Amino acid sequence: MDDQEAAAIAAGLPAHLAAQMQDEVLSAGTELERLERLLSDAVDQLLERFGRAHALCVAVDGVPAALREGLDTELRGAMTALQFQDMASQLVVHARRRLATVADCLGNLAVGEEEEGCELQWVSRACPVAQRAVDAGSVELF
Amino acid sequence: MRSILAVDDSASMRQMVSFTLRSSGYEVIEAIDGQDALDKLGSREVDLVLTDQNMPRMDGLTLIRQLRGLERYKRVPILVLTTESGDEMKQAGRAAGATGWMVKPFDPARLLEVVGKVLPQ
Repeated sequence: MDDQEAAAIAAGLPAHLAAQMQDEVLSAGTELERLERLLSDAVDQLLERFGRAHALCVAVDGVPAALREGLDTELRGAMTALQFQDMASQLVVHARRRLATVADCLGNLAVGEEEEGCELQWVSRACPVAQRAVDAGSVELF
Repeated sequence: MRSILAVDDSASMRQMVSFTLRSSGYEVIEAIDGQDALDKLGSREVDLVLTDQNMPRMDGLTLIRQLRGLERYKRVPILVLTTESGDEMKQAGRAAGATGWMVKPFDPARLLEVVGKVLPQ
């Protein structure tokens, strides 16, 4: 859907329906914000616990080298996987920006300020997160 | 001890990068965005800069351009660690003066390998 099509659809909305839709969109934005905080809190706790586990392993004498090496490998793998939170956070922030744009537009329609439809300032840039998995990314030296 | 400035607006990313580098004996200074990085580099020097791209106040490419404009940072390695994987952005990084481009998520062993490779002996 391009900007003109979206504006035409928005312009045809009754004010009361625009107000209800704005409420829904704002609620979705709030829920995404809560999701972002939950993810952040969970990852902070996981990192702290992984760090403590690693420190314990290093501090204890007599841990067989093979076990220590295995734990290091698993910890490194966990650290790569935990970076999902950074990517998820960027996706959530981008989605919230899009929702805020739609909510603003619906808000204008709800109070009848935009009889001809609203000027949609779409979030034009695609989200920088294109990854579909948490496998380690590429490295390029110039 | 070699020192590295890690620049990222995500606290968890800074924590993971710092843990990885410190556990291999590097001193790590953290900055929350490009502007904070410039402020911190005003009072001390580092051997390598590892920066994210998308950050508030000042992004990674702007930081690189600013640093390359300073005599003492003309040859210091600067690695970009970002979710951005597009060729256009990578080329912009190269043109700005980045030494390398790493796409998140990073593998700790690979990060250490790259850091060891680009740090001057």
